[in-house]
Amino acid sequence: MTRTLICLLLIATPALAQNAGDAARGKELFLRDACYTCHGTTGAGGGALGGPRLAHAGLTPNAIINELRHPRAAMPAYSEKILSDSEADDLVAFIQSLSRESAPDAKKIPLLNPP
Amino acid sequence: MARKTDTLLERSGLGRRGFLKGAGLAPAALGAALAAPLALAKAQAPARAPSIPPTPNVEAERGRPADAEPLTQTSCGADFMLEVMRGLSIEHAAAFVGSSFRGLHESIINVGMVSEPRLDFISCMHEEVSVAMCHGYAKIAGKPMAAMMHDTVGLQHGSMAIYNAYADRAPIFLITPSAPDARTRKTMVQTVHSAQDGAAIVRDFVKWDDNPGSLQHWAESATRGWKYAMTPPYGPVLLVTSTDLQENPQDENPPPRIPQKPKLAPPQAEDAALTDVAKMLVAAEAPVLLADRVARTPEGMRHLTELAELLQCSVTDSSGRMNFPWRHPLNQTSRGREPVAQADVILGMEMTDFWQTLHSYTPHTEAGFQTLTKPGAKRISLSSADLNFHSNYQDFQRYPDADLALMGDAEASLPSLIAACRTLIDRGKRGAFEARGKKLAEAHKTAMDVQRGLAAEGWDSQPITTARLVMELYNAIKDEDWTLASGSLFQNMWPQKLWQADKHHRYIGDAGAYGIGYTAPASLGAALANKGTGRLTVSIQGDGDLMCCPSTLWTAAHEKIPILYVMHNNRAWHQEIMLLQQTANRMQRGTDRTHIGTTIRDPNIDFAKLAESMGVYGQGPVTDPKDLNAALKRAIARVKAGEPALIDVVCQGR
Repeated sequence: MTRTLICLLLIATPALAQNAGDAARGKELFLRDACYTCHGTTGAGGGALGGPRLAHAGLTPNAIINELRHPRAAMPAYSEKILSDSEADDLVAFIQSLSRESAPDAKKIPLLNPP
Repeated sequence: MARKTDTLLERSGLGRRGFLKGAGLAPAALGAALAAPLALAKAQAPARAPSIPPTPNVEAERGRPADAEPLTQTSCGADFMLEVMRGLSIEHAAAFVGSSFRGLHESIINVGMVSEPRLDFISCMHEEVSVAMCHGYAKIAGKPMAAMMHDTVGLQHGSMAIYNAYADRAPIFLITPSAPDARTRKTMVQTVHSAQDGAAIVRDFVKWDDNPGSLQHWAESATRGWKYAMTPPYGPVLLVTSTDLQENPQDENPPPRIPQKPKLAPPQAEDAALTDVAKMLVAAEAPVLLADRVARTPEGMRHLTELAELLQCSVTDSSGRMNFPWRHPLNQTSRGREPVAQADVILGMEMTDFWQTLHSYTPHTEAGFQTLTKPGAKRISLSSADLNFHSNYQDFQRYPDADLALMGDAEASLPSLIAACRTLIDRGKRGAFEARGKKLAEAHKTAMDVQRGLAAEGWDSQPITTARLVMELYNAIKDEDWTLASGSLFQNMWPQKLWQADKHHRYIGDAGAYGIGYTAPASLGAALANKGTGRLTVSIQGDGDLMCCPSTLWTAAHEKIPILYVMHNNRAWHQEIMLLQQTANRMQRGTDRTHIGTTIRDPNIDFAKLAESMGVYGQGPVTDPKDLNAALKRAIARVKAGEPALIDVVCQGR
């Protein structure tokens, strides 16, 4: 049991870690004809023809930075030339702030549970 | 009054036929033609009678030379063509008016629309609307309606919609005129731009075309074309129909005969090959059925369900049609590519892109496309698409390797495949199949829960999420007999993931060739087919798509076709934004300017006002998701009363 708990903490801790970025500035960048178009303004994601969910996705700062700089799928690559390290940190801070509140519970939304 | 006008026309020397010729010209010429008799009437008024009559009056007093052609006639070729179309059960002809098919136009409005069986003229403002309406209509009605397009320019306008229909296997009866005989060409606009081979521009994406030289030929080609259009793979056919053939009297000897409309039998794959497929499917541990445009009719859906339940196997639906119930426990579509990756036998049926279904794609890497299938997995294709191939305009992706390729219509082949499977399934297998089915049912439920969780994210956000839009709409229509007449790709396929749908008319697929400007008119065509059935037709309408053919709304109001358009207004050609961002970042120039040419803002379009300007009930823009329910209720009440309605909803991109 203890062993299991330690493992969970190891997985969860990076996702909750905060970086030095400015979330408010990150939001501006996110909404400036960039990230929101594929990921939605709340990080809900856009499905197969959009981008993946960012909110409550358990993304670590490193995972976000890696995806920005070296995307694995259809995500545009944001090199240092067009997105500075400082701006990348701001984006990380904003994306992590999307998960600050707990994920919405689909079971409590009647329209998602029609009889 | 008409008689007086005739008299004036005759006095003017134009004659009725000459006047009609002039009326087919440009507005300026029409104005001149009208002006002549009116000026003459004014000149002849007793109070102002000049002492020296103008020249035309002098000619009238002398008498007029005999007309080179009769002023009136008692029959025309178009009336015969009308009867041929009626015999083929064609009930509607959509058209943007064009003088080169005025013979058919006149026949339809004065004979077709006032006697039984009815053949109605549907007024459109663009040939793309006419053809796309036929496209959507065919997918609900299961038969073609006609679209008439003006000589050359009309067909050019309609060509993209024809390509969509061709790629989507939709039967349409297309007509475009010609003026092959220089001696009988009328003046100016209507014939100066005719073509010696008008069909050439669309020949590579219609199933067949002909240019009949007589009414008998026309009747035979119409019936032959109908047969081709309605034999899988379905598709549009085109008859080039000369203006003379429409307008000249029926004087063929012997009189033209209308061929018998045949009962059609679709091509079925060979029985022995289907038995081989059955052996592979029954012996497999993890077979998968892939479906794209399998269910042409409700029977196709019933057969696919029967086969899946017999085998208790996965079905993954590409949603080219309503192939398989969306909430059936064996429907594994929401699991993405996992079922294919686990499969040992894969049967792809009427797949547009079988190759891509069997591969994953990782851009920017050396790996690129990678096969998804396990080593040794058997791949079988069953499709009628291979029975109709053209070389130029393509409708396929990379070549998919297949262990067995069957040419035949999947829907027609399923009963034999089911029968062959039944003979191979013994009691022992039945138990294993049931265990497999239970696991798949659990997987379906788990996938559904995952999708619900994803849909909940940003539930109350503004702009409204596509999941919220789609579920608010479902909540408003779920107790009705509804049809979703728009494709759902741009709404993240939420309907397929979250709605309950188990009837064939619930969904009709998408454009086929991704030609934007399909959704609004094709949905309206589906609504036309649903009119009078008690079904509620709804369309989730992209803003960019509607702006390709906004006049569709006028046709909806003018023809009194009940339909609910719910705008997915993301104020962009959203797919293009994302692709342009990829390119801009590849060039390391950033995405700051990628809104240029890809967004529909500054100014934002007021779609409710646009709708209202054309006589369609409009609401919006709705920006708060909490307002959606009431707006939908109000609009649906109008649609159920027989009107078209539109709600503008400002949404997230996807």
